[in-house]
Amino acid sequence: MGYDTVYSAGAGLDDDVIQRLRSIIPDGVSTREADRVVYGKDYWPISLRWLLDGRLPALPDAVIWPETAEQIAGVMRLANTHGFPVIPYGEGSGVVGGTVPVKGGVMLDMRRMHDILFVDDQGLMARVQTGVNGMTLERELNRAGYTLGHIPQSLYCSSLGGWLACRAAGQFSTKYGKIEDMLIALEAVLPDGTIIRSREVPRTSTGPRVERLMLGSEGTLGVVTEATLKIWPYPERRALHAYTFDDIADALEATRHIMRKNVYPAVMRIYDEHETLRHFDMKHRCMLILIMEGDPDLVDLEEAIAARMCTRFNGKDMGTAPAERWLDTRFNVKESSEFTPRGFIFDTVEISVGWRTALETYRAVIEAMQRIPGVIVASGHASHFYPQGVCFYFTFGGLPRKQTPYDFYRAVWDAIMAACLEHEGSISHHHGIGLIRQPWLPDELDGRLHMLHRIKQALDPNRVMNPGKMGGDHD
Amino acid sequence: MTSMRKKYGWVMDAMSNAGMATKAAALKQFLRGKKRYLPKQDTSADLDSVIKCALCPNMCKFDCPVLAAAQNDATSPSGKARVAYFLETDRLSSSDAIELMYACCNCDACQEWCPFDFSAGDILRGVRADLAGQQRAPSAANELRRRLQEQHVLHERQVQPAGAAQGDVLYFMGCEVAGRHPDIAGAMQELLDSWAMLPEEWCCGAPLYTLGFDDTFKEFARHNADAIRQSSCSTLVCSCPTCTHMFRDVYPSIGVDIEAEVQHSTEHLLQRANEGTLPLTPLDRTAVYHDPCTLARTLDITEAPRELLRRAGVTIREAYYAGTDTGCCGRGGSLGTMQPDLAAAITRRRIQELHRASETVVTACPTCKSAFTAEGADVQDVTEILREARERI
Repeated sequence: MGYDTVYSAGAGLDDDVIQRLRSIIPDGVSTREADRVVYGKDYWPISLRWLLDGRLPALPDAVIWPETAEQIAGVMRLANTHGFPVIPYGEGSGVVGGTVPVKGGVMLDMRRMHDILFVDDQGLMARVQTGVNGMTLERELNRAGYTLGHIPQSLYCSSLGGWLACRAAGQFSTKYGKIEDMLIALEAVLPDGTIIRSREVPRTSTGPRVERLMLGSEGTLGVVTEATLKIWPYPERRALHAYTFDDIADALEATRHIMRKNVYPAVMRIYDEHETLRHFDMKHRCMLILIMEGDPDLVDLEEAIAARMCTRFNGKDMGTAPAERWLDTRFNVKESSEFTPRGFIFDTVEISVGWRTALETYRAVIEAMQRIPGVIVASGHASHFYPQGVCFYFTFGGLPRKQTPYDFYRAVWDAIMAACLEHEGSISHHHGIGLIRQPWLPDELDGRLHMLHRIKQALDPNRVMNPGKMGGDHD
Repeated sequence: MTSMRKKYGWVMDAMSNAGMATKAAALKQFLRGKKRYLPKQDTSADLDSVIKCALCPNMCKFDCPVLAAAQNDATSPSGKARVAYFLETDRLSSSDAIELMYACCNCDACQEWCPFDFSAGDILRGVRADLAGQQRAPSAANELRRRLQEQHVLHERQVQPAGAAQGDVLYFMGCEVAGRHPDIAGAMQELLDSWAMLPEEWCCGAPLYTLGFDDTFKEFARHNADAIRQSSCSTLVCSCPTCTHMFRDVYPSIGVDIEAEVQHSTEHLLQRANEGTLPLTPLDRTAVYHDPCTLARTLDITEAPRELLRRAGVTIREAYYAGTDTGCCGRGGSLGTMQPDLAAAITRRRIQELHRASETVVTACPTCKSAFTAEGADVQDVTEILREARERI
């Protein structure tokens, strides 16, 4: 019966190129069919439906597993000479198609570069190779008495390199920051094979921090091979709280005022009515989960201030049980496995918005999703908070009606993107651009897209790094 | 219905706002949608589980010892499930895809993290049965079956049960003890006051079961069940956790019952120690205890071996990954036979981890002992420690 590909069945790399790759990375090159099938996707939800239909997003020509930055540099030089695409790959947990090899080429799996190289207790830093799995990194830091504090839902199946490439955010980010806040220094291989390294200092005033162009570049501007990250002593105390509110407006106001007090709980999450029913089995309420952690005295203070703000906006104290439930179930990702085989299309979409338009943006996006024929589930929660604004994380699910699955999927996404931009939001908070957001990048970046293209042209004139992404095939 | 309501209540609630056409389409899809993705022919593989695993973001992968050693995403649980789905639906047929179906050490680490409570080993077992039925099993698997059919044990026996004393306890050595670790059999025989053994032990059949040779496995199960019945013993004690699991759980699942109470050696010996029939003089030792996957995760036995070691005067230095969070020795699921280099790489990782706690390793599984010994580690079985503690009286 066989299978087909949606984007590309490979770039047609010849045997000579494969042999040259093998000379750079002995025992680290595969052209086996099963490997190419597995590496031809990430966790983009629409591709799950394609899988069941016998379609792969794309098929790379080869998979390679380098062990050093120098090997990667050699691969990049070869790619420029022979003009084949190189797509950096962490754990393949991206949800927007960012690592799909849309023009074939070589998947550069970083997982062999997974060592924790150095832990500096005095300076609270750890230098780590970027192929390390997130949970492996966190467990090893915990073992040594530290935490990174970066706990995305994908912790078990994502990598440090992937976090850096898409500017990831974890569930505890309101206290510990996002991955870019944790980054002190990095080593990276540029598209021409040059290896760069920045200094392990808390700050510099030495011109633009050009190495930070790697952050969020989704593998189009280079390969980050090492990162020096902030770490923290493992928290001495953790406090769990939950409040319910009559509506999401009150819950948002409570959290906004907590932030105004300069209080940063590790976790703050507001679930709208639909998701409060779904996750906590409570009707017509909005749940706020709060987790504070760190020094016991600071936690006491944060608890007191947060309680005051929640009470002020009519929050009802629900004790610790809902937060415990959230902690226990936060990694249970079952919906795609449950519903995709039943024909349902599911996805989640996160956006960023300032407080001034936050509530109306939430309502506008929910309404926009509901307007698409076939949408059954349209819900949202707020998961990352700032004194200036909030990240909303929307979920939609439904059945295509007189449309292909992709057209239905595209229609819901477009509705969300349009509503977000109309209300002055940004189209992504932490999942990145990938393939699905690409059509909306010109509206999001406006004149900055041209700047990005110029940078790409300067660093990667032959467009060998993850081609077809971050603005596509510009001139 | 209550559990359905609890599980899908939020969907039903959302559905209540949808139009009639959407409701009708959703109901139809919900009830019949899955069939579209299943092959028409019957399969041994549980394809519903294969699909669920294939569509998962791979939330267990960080704890998969095969992936950690192979460093190839294709060997991750979800990676293998994707390839399995393509094999079962005739979209893939390459030899490397088939080979991948055997890259699992049955350690069930994935199950610890799976929201569906799946084990990759369980999922792949059905796929292998389909491959075996289609005569597409790899040659190493066929060779293993042929060897078992001819000689009934995995390795040439170094211990013969002849001359065994009689008793109500039937001691079952298992292939690994009989062929590789006669000292464990000797220790067990010294620790048991009276015991019986089968005149000719056959393999419990675990490799056949794991590799999907279901018919041959049934032959072995029936033979062993008959032999055990004829012994008239009321208790069956095994040195090997996998033999214990086969007799206790898997045989009954295929309709072959073992009437005797099945115990792992550590369960039985602790029972005897508690009854006062196993007096021990404490040694002065320090060791790390390695939890065998099947003993800890499948049989839920983590405390008995530790308690026995404590009573034998062993100070236990715990590995960071211990108990049900243990790491595999690499040889589970016949991986040592099917992909020996991969198995050895897993073994070396586990030894490295254990040695962070202590250079002296104790375990309670002869297969783990074989794996570690082959890679140069100094390993004793709990029963060997107990024999030393008993000999000093």
